[in-house]
Amino acid sequence: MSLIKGLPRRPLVAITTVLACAVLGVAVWQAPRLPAKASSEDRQQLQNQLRKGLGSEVRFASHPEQADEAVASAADFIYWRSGLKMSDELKRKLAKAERDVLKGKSPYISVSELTGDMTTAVVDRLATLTDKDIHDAAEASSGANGEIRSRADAKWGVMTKRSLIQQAQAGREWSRRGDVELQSGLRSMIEGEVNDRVSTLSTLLPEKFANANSQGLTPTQALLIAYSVAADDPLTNSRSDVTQILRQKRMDERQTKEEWKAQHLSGRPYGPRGWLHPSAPQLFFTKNSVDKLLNLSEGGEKQ
Amino acid sequence: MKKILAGLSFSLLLIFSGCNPFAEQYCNLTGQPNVSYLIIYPCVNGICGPIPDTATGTVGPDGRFRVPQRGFSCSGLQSLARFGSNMGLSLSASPASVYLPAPPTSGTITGQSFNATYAMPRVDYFDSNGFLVGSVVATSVSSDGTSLQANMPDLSYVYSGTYRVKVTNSTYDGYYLNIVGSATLTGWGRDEPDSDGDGWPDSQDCAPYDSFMQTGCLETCGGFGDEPLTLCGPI
Repeated sequence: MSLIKGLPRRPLVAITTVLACAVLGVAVWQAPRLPAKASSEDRQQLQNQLRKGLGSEVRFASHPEQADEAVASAADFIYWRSGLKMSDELKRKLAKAERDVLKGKSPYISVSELTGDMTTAVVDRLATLTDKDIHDAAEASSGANGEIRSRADAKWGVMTKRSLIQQAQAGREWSRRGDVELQSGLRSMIEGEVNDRVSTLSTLLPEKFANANSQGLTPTQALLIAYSVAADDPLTNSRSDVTQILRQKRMDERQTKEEWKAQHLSGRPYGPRGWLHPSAPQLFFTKNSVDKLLNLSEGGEKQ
Repeated sequence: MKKILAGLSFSLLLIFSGCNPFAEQYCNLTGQPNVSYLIIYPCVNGICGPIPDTATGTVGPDGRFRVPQRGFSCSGLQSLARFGSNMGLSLSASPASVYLPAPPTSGTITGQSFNATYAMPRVDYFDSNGFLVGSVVATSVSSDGTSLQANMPDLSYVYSGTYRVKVTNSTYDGYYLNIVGSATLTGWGRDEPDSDGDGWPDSQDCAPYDSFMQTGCLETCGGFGDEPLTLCGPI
């Protein structure tokens, strides 16, 4: 609640937090983050989960000829977990960019560069949110009676969809002012999130990410990190593990099929209406955003 | 202006769910892995009602579980938490195979540690996806606690498949926290319909009468490359 108390004094900080959350969902990567003083058991457990998830299900390329397979497995990994689907065109461009990096024709993407590109993409996307984007998101958050529960403590109560949409539209206009401080605040937050992931992955999945800080990231690695930030997906656990977690969750909660259906969840753990971490990463991953993020519009070559 | 900014923050947070610093706060607590926990909140956010709110569930395999804070400190909730036990026994159901169109009216579960001291044990039936399909309490428990009798739940709407039967003992004050174990039971004789013959049972097929469409029943624009974002998964 400290953020609420801080709003009148520091509106920009609060709004920046909100906007970063809105487009990138950056506040939630709690469970998998490697604490500074993580016990060796925690580290081992997280490492096992990462190896069974990202480490096993995405076949990273170490040679140019493996680029297509790497991109296909990454696309499949993201789709299964969140419902975000890559177009054939994007897969083709991403594979070319991956090949070019592995061939030495293009440089690796530095963590700082990824942070900057993500910040630019977020700022641009915020300014172009359409009414439909806002309506779709509001719809996804609505209960059966059309009301939207704040999920906050009791004093926030319930809001109507109409009231919520009006306020969100006003918020969009505010973000279009292009405030430099806003961009700076967003960059700082995104930087923290990206660095957390790179640090965790390079420590616990060194066979894939050991050189992330020194050498940089391939386009596929960069996209996976951006996806992780946007969808709050820790990239852990295999499909069968995730399915088993869902099965166990239902049993623990003694949930009937009717109760499950009434929740209108997607069946996927992440992404829109995800049962583990619902989020709206599709707001960020438009064609333009992804092209900007990975600089794919010019054939995959970083300047 | 300040009021507007606060309002905007709140509205945006609500619209783009999944990242909400104003959302209900949770505490990560610890306990023995895989046992049931129970927290009875005497008050919620300072308001004390006649019927106390509760949080129940099972501690994760890593010994952690998450509960709503509801105005309490996490250390306070940790001290309020009650834990059950989980013997994790492998039990046997008899009959182990049930003809669903004409199921028996009752069955026997054998094992050990069934306890009727405070209340009859509860018997829950789960399908292969983890959904609860029925729950009954035992009608009798043998004096040595090695077997119990229970009526079959309503199986008139379930389909052929493997079911898990879980037995839980009650605490002195009526909470089912002490898991004894589980048995498997096979149901047969009523296959789930697949109206369009595409291999997906109607309940898992988003278009049960269209054999060319198995997933993707609910789509919104978005996703990489502006392709449709499929929200209907196969899980």
